[in-house]
Order: sequence, then structure tokens, then C-alpha cells
Amino acid sequence: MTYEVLLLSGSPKEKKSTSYSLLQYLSDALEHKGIKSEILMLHVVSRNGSQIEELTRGLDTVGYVILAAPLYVDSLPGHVVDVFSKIAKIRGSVSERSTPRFSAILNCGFPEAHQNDLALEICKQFSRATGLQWMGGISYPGGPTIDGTPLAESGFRGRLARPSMDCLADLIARGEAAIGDCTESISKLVLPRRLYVMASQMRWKRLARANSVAKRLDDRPYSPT
Amino acid sequence: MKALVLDGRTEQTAFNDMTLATLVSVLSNQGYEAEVVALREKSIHYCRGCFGCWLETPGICVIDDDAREITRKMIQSDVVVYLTPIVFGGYSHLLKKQVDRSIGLVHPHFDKVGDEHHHRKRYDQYPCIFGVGLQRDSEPELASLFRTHIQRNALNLHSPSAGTVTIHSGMESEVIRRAVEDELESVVVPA
Repeated sequence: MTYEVLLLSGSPKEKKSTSYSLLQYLSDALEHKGIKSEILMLHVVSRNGSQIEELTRGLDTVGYVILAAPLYVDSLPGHVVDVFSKIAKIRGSVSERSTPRFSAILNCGFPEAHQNDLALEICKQFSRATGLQWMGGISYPGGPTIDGTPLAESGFRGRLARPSMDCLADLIARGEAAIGDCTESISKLVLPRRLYVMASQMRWKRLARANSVAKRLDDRPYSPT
Repeated sequence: MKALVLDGRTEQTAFNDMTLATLVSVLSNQGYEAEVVALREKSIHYCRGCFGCWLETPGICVIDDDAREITRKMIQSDVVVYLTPIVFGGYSHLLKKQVDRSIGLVHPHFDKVGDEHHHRKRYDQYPCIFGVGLQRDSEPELASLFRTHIQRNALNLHSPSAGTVTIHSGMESEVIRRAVEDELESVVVPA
């Protein structure tokens, strides 16, 4: 591995995800500062033991690791837990290992940023168990407002996420540790909360209509007969 | 009353086999008909994040594997037990992927619960959640996170009640039994 920053995407939606949008923007911002990075898709890594070993070895060659992941039922997606567990097992059996810095960006569909807190705490415990240096977490509520649109092209919708990613790139370039200054902008919704919730409901209805299931959204297929 | 034990253990040892047997015994003594599902023996794929369970086949995951049937059993139970090693304060990947795959039990729309938004109910009634976390050594910080995880999941699943007990390998079997009994009694299934 020849890059300095390892970017891990925890979304199985590949390039059509908010996680990837954030990481691609960050990767571009780092490149402008002369810092090489690479984005790895953890759902692909999770299917292949040799890729997990390669990823784990890679942790010894990079200075900074950043996970971007969607919130799945209050915490990390199952495949991310799987990869993290295997990394911890491999690194736990190694006596000499490097200690790259590690941060995580969690995005959720809820309008409240604090709903990501538990997942970020789990990331902190992962870094503790694997000998990474926990630099802090970034919480992004209302993630579906981006939903795979490249962040650089997301206009109004990405206006609060971009400053945080720029801040993170600056911080990494300067070799600074604390990410606190980068967390605030992205933790706010681009719309008032009530408006965001209304827009969210309208979006689900529109997508359901497109799939011809608008009248079945309330189905209860597992009700006892 | 029905109890569904989702056994998310990644390894079987004599100690955690004994814990499972104790758990089933306590459930039986408290009037539950318990069914244990060993998740490691099931074919369960990871959630794709496609929202097909909301937008294509509402309430049913579009991936046709064992997670569908387990999800059906979850909503038709009075209590669902999450039995898992505590991994970084959370669940094992085996349990987490089943929990991820059960998101169709709730509705895509939001409702306000207290000062937070959560997904709206799809069903009238939801199971209580009882978390049983396994640790090699006592690690209170991780046990506390696990408790928070269960509470958060219970909130999002509209569970009427939830409880959590943490078991570590230094505990005597009788201590484990009492801990499970006491915590399970605090889980109140609606009449």
C-alpha cells in the first residue's frame, strides 16, 4: 500500500451512498494537498479473508484511517462488525504493530445527530481493542439528503457537510490530532427539523409510487393469522 | 408466552453452553415457551441497504434467505432474547446482521418519540427485548455500552419493555441463574 490515508466505506450501496460521497470528497481534498488516499469498500472486504488480512497489514503502513458508514439499527452494519472483529483478532496476536490515527463518520436518516453516538462509541472501543489512536467521531444526521450525489455537486444539500470534510483534510495535512473543530457544521440539518421530516415522508411516498406499492406501504405481512 | 432466543455466539464453549442452558431453563420456569435459533447455522446475508423491505415488498426483505423466517418469528414472539458475545460494546456480527435484516418490522415514516424521531410502527404489538451479553472478563464499560445498545434497539422497535444482563466467565452458575431470573422478571410482557 502506497497511500497515506486509508478511507473505509461501510455502506453496501457502493458509489451510490452518502458514505462514499463523503469519502470521495475527502479523498479529492487530500489529493489537492498532495496526500494520497484510497477508498476500500468493507462489504467487499468482508467476503474475502485475504482482503481482510491485506487491510490489516495496511494499517501498519498508513498514518490515518477513516471509516464512513451508515447507521444500521443504532450501530454499525453487520458486515462492518465482521471486518472489525477479524482485524481485532489478527492485530491482537501481533506483538509489534503501528498505531495509525482513526476517526469515524456515521451518517443516519434521523434528524438527530446524537442517534449516531452509540455507533461512534463502538468505533472508539474498536480502536482501543486494535491499538489505533482514536481521534474522535463525526456525526451526520439527515444523510439521505446526499444519498450518493457527489458531495462537490450536491449544492445546498451538502453545504454543511463540505466544510467539515475540508476541515478534516486540512487537519490531516497539518498532522494535527483533535478533530473537534470539524464536527460542528456537519452535525446540523440543512433544513429545519420539521421540514426535513416532511421532506423525508414525501420522498418515501414518491419512491413507493414509483414502485407501485404506495397503497401497500402499511402492509403487515407477518401479522398472526 | 413465546420467547425467541437469537443465539449470536460466534463460538461454543462449555461456559457459554451452560449459560444458554440456564437461560432456557429460567425462561421455562417463568412461563415462556422458548425456541433457540443458532444464527451461525443459518443462511443470513448482510443487509444491502436497498430499502426493498419498505419500497418493493413492504414488510418483507427482498433477500430470500433464513432471515425472513427469523424476522417473522421475532414479531410473533413476546420476548426476543439477544444472546451474544459483547463485541466492542455491541453485538456479534451474526446477531447484528439478523437485527439489520429485521428493519422491515417498522415503517419508513417517522414518528416523534420524546425528543427524538424513530420509525413508525408497522404492527400493533412488538416483542420485549432481553439482552444477554457474554464476556470473558468483566469489563463494565463495554457492559454499559451493551445495555445502551439494547435500550436503543428497544426504543426503535417499540418494545414495551427491555432488560439486559451481562455474564462473564468468572461467574458461578447459581449467580448466573439469579442474575437472569432477576432481570427477566423486570421485563414486563403486556397482557
